[in-house]
Parts: sequence; structure tokens; C-alpha cells
Amino acid sequence: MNPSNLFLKKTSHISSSFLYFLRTSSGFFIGLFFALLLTLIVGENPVHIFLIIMKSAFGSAYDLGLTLFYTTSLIFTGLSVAIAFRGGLFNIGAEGQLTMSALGMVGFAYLFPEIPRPFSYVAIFLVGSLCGAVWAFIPGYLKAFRDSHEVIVTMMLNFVAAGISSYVIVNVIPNQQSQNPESFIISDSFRTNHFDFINTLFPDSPANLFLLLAIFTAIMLYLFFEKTLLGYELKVSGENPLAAERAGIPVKKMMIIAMVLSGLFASGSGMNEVMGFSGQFKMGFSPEFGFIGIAVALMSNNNPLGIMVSAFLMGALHKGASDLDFETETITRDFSKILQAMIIFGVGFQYYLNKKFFRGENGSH
Amino acid sequence: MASSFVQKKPLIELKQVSKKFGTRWANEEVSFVVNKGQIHGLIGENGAGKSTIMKILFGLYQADQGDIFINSAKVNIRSPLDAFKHKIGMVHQHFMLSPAHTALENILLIQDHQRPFEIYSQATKIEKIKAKAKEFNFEIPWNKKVSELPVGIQQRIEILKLLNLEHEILIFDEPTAVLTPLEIEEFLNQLQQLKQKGKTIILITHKLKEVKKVCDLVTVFKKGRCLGTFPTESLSEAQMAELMVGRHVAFQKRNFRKFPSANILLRLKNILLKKNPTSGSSSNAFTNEGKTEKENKFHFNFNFDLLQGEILGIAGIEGNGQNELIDFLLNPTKYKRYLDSSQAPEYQLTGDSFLTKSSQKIREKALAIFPEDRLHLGSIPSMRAFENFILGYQRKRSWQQGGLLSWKKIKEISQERFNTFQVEPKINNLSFNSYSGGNQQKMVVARELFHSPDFILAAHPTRGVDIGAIELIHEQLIQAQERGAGILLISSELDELTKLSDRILVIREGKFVKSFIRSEFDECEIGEYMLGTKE
Repeated sequence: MNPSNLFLKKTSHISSSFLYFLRTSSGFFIGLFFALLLTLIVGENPVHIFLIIMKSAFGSAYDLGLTLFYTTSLIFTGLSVAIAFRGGLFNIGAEGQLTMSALGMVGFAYLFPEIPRPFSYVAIFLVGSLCGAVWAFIPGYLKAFRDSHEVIVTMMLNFVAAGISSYVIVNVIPNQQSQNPESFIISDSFRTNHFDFINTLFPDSPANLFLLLAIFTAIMLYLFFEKTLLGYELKVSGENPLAAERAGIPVKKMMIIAMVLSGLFASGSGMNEVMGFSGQFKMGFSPEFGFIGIAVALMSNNNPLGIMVSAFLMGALHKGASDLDFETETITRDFSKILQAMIIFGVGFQYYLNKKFFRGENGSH
Repeated sequence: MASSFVQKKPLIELKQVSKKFGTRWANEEVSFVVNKGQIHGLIGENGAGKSTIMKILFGLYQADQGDIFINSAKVNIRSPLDAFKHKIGMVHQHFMLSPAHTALENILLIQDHQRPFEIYSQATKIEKIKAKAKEFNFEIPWNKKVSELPVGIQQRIEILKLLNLEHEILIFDEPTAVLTPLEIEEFLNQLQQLKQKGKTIILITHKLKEVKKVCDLVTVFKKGRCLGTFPTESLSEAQMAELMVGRHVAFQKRNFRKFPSANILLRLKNILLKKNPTSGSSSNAFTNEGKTEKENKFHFNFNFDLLQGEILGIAGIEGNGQNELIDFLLNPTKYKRYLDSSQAPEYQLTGDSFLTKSSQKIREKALAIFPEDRLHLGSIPSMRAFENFILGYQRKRSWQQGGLLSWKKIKEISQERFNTFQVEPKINNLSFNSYSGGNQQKMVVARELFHSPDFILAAHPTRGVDIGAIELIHEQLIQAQERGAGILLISSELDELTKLSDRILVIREGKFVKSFIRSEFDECEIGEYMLGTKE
């Protein structure tokens, strides 16, 4: 399967799968190690901190459920960033896309509360997808036909999305029973929680069956890249647009397709929250899933299957860090940001190591 | 190797130098000596390791094993700066000049012991440079911008840069690949002069004719190893080629079995293009900087017919409109705004008008393209060889099974195809860029000719490719022609053009200035039209 493994067998006595493991995940562990070392500065014991994180992430069915809930959202945003990357674009806007998706769903449920099952599910699913996709189409179109840089446009659209959503949530469809900035709760016909068999495995936790959808999407995206013509053309135009143009591939169209799919995947994060869990738009429901998704995609080198693993790791760290607030006196949950940052550095270092020690051999992608 | 032709105290001595890339030995126990004051040729196929060993000597790579001695003292060259200290300089294939500066400024910019805030254009320095140029009989238009100068002069500036640093050992990597016949002549004379002044020259080249003409010694490389050093008089060109390739190589000109039919395959008529819309993007991304500016200066006028079964050569110095011609043929709609429609332009291929067709439609025709730059335009370097095999033909139904791409099938077909084209190594799941240049080109040719094209657009089909591969690619082109395909051969190698073409058109500043039929081919005359010394 992996040609480089064949080579490695010839030259090295260390088992090739161990080397493969090193090449793909060393960055995560390097980052984790150094982030934990930082806790020494404030006089904590890194081992102790690590154990707190582990316990908080996996300690009980409830904890694991929360971890999986984060994992679900991160798989979606990770896939979102990855497909844009593969298409040669850097989508910083997954955050805005998932926000717009969530807002669209809540708004739709507000306007048409009477739609019967099962059409209600189909309708809200389509609306949610469409909103995310449209929000990503804008930068895709501007990039393809106006040469506007997608990083700038998506970043600005994040702010626009945040502005629109906070206005609508607070002023148009607020939750009358709550002091918190959150929307009303959508009717049960749009929510999946009463037949959610995943949730029953992790009682009281927000884990829901969108986890399965996320896994399914990741596998489909993997097959899309490996097996379909469109996936091939998308990869080609992302890797080398000049050659793609020569090969008769409509590069501009590919950019837009990549962005639209990217927005579509980001929408999954919004659905995970609105349809699967809370049934409302809570301001700040996403602890920047869109940005953590960038790290998730980078860690797995944009491989959809790897994204499931890296999303789980990042989800666990995110959940794990949340207990640091009351388990320690010096470290707060914001430590998860430090963890993310260090892991991104670690992944960068991993690319460097791979380049240095495995030059000339491309591993599986 | 203590043969008589080796001086008692050779200038450079390489002992058992080895270099490994990943798992492949690029150089394996290479040992040879270079005498002082001689011209030393390095020959070998692509990927034979001749450039690698020179990059080690120049400090761009570090050897994994082995020692280098200069003047019998062991040296450790870790960077080009170290190489400078040992008076070693290298003229690269792609010149390291700033196109926006004048010739003089380019030389002034590279000075020994320069301080950050020193005024660089001091009169004494200028005088010194001009004296140097006089010493070596270099004529250089000092105050012209490099972007306006022909490649031959640019090369001279590059050499003068090294001479000005008092370098004693000059390494040239394929110096004549970009020059016209006249310029080559001049360049070789200059080498002789440098030698007379006591400089030591190492010449990496594919052109055995030049080796024969100027080199004193020649070292032959094959598959990362050094086969030995020989006095040039002791070997004929054919013997050199045989050593390099490992078998006999045919040198004769193409013999004509079939003449073109009268049917017109491709017709371009009254294609008048205003300024180039693509500058800075696709077709220019790979040319030397500065050329893009030049290209923008003129309009284009394409006017010719290509017959079935004909090889039509387009001769010209690079950057005179060849890239626009290719680009226009493949994507005419891109040029819509620049096309002068009042002249009734025509673009016909096999009888259909293609003037308004999209590039996808054109690719669906039985058309093959050997792109002018295989890495940027003809492949996805990071993807594997077999994945590259369907590039440009990815929409063919035959690759699919139940609507999905069948990589198993593609792998099998491409492996079989690559084997026929002797692609090395004989596995097709390495990434494209881990093959050597010659093998990359073989893979491109293997792919493009797989679908029995009627029309072949062959741009520089053998650029940077070794003798064995050149032979194979030329054979394939001739076979395609005999099958009835029409071939547009765009090349800067006059040898290649005169060997293969039925007709040659000379392109200069976007226009065809002269047409030759086979019986009139004369390399010197064609060269003069290319340079514009003859109108």
C-alpha cells in the first residue's frame, strides 16, 4: 500500500509501521510534551496535569460523551479545511460557515415551525447545508473570478457572520426564558435527540448521532479523493493549477466546488449543536471549532481518515483542559489554546523532520 | 588511475565520494582528478550523477562519504561560500542575474569583502571589471539592462562575475543548452581563451560534439558511478555515447520513408494577437525573469498550415512567441479579447473550427502535448507516476469502472506502457518528481502517445534529456508521423529540428520570419534568422 514502506524495509531494521507512526503523529506528541513542560513555569507537575487532562477527557461515560461531541464538530471543520487545502485554498472561514449554518437552521425553524416529520428533518438539513455552502461560495467565487485572496475574504466573512448572528439572536429570535444570549429553542420536529441511540450510550452528555454522520462523511471524502474523477481533478488543480489547465480541467470551477464543499462540511458542526444537541443557537457555542479544524487538518496532512483520529485527539485535549480550572489553582481551561498552539508547532516540526529524514519518498497521502 | 595524462600534482582530486538521496545512491565511490589549466568534460545520462558531484564540489550538497583534495590538501566544502574561498565558481543552467539591473551593476553587486553600506559603484571597481573584461576579450554592453540582453551575453556576464572574484576553477552546468549555434561557437572559443589564461574548467554537457572540440579530458558517468577519465583524443563521439548508454547508439539522420500527404491537419490563418494576456501566469511562469517584459513588447501573428504526416519545426530563441503559440492552440478562448477579429482569423484542426472552443473540448480531440515545461505544465510532481498517467485524459471512460476510477487498471496499463518506454526505476508508484528528468519526459511522452493522437504538439521534447532517451523519443515521433499524425515540433535545438523536420519555420518577435524546406536546411542561416541578423 505504502511504497515508502517497501524502501524502509530494505534499509532499516526498525519496523516500518513504527516509522510510519512516527512520521504521521510525532508532531502531536512533541507539541503535547512541550506544552506540558510549560506548566513547570507556574510550578505544576506536568505528569499531574497530563493525568488531569486524561481523566477529564475519558474519566466517565459523560466525559467521553463530551469528548466525542467535540470530536464530531472537529471532524466536520477538519474536513472542511482539508478539502479546501486539497483544492489549493486555505479556508480560514469554517467558523463563519458553521455560524451561518446554525443561524440559518434556527431562523428556518422560527419561520416554519409547523413542517411535519420527516420533511422537517430534510428541510432543516438542506437549509443548514445551504447556508454554510453559500457562505463559502462567496470567497470561492471572489477567488476564482476576482482574484481576491480567500484568506482575507473568509476571515472577514467570519466577522460578518459573527455580527449578523449576534444581532439576530439577541434582537430577533431570543430565548425569552433566559438571560443568556441565545436563541429560542426550535421545535422537537427539527431535533434528533428523541431517537438518538448514540446519546443513550453517553447519558446526559451532548454526544449525538451526528458523530456517525461525521465518520460517514470522512469516509466518503476519502473515497471521493481516491476513487472519483471529480476528486482527482480537484486534487490536480489544487496541486498544480497550470498543469490542470493544460489537462482541460476548469480550474476556476474547481476552486468554487472546493469551497462550496468546504462550507458544506463546516455546516455539520452547526448541525451537531443545533439539531443534535441544544436545539438553539447559543452565542459562543463553538469554541472556535473552525480554527481548531485547521490544526486537525494539518495534523493529518489533510487525509480524511487521519482527520478522524486527529479530531478525536484534539477533542480530548479540549475537553481535558476544561477541568484544569478547578483541579489546579494556576492553570485555566485556556491551557487548551496553548496545547493547540504547541501542537501546531509540533506538526510543523514533524513536516521538517519528515523532509529531512525521508527525502525523496512520498508516503501515502 | 595513475595514467600518463594525469599531472603529478592535480588541482582537484575526488576520492571515493558518495552521496545518498533517501535510499538511492546519486554518487557511489566517485573518484577522479582534474588537472590544472585544462578543460575537463563530464558526460553521462540524466541522473548519472554528474551534476550531483559538481554540486558537492561547489558546496550545495555535502558528501556522505569520501574526500576532496584541492592542491593535495584535504578540504571540507560545506557551502558555496566555502567553495568561493577555494576559488571555485559555478555557472548554473539558470542564470543568477537580476534582470532589472544593468550588466555592470550585476557584476558590481557581487564583490569580495563587501560591507553592507559601501557604495557599490566605485570608479576603481568599475575600472577593474572593465580591465578584466578586456583581458579575456569579453565584449559586454555595460549599461544595458540584463533583461534586454540575449542569453549569450547574459552568460558572459555570469562568467565575468566569477572571473572578477578571481576564481580559478569554473564549473559550467549545461552551458550551451540555451544558446544558438553562433553563440555556442563564440562560447567555446571563450572557453579556450580562459584555458590559455590558466583557468581550470569543468564542463557538464550532453553535447558530445562540444566535448570533442574543447575538452582535454573527459570523465564518463553511469548510474551514479564514474566509469573513468579518458583523454578526449582517445575516444570518438560514438564511443563516448556507447560508454554512457552502455550500448551502441545510432547517430544517423532520419531517413524518410513517407512524405506528408496533401491534407491539411491544422490551419492557423490571420491569428493576430495583441499584447500577451498571460504574462506573469501560465506560459511564463518558468521562463527566466525579464523575458516576460520582453514578450510584452510585441504582437503576435501566427499563420501556417500543418499537413497530415508532416513534422513542422518551429525554430526560435526562447521567448519569441513559442509559448503563446502553444497556449493559443490549447486554449484559444483565453485570447479572445486580444484577437484581432477584423482579419477573419481561422483556427482549424482536422476540419473543425476551434477558435471558440474551450480547452476541455480541445483536449478531447486526438491531440497530444509534450509541454514546454514538464514539471509545471505537464505533471503533478507530488503525485505518483501512475496517477500522472491519466492527467489530461482523466475523463476517458476506459479508466473507469462503475463510475469510479479504477486505479488497478490504470496501474497495470501505465506500468506496461512505462516498460515499453524504458522508464527507470521500473515501478510506477513513486512520486513523479523522484524520477530523473529524462525519465519524467519519457513518462510524459508515453502518456501522450498512448491514445494514438492525430496531432502532436511537441514543445522541446528532449530538453534536458540524455542521449538514450532522445533516441527513443525521436523514434516515437517518427513512428507517429509514419502513422499519419501531424507534428508541430517546437525546439531551440537546431540539431533536433534539422534531424526531424520536413519544414522549418523561424519565429522571431512573435512572427514567422522565414520558412525552410528540408533541402534548404542550413543551421547557420537558420541561426541568423533566429537572432535577427538576417531579415
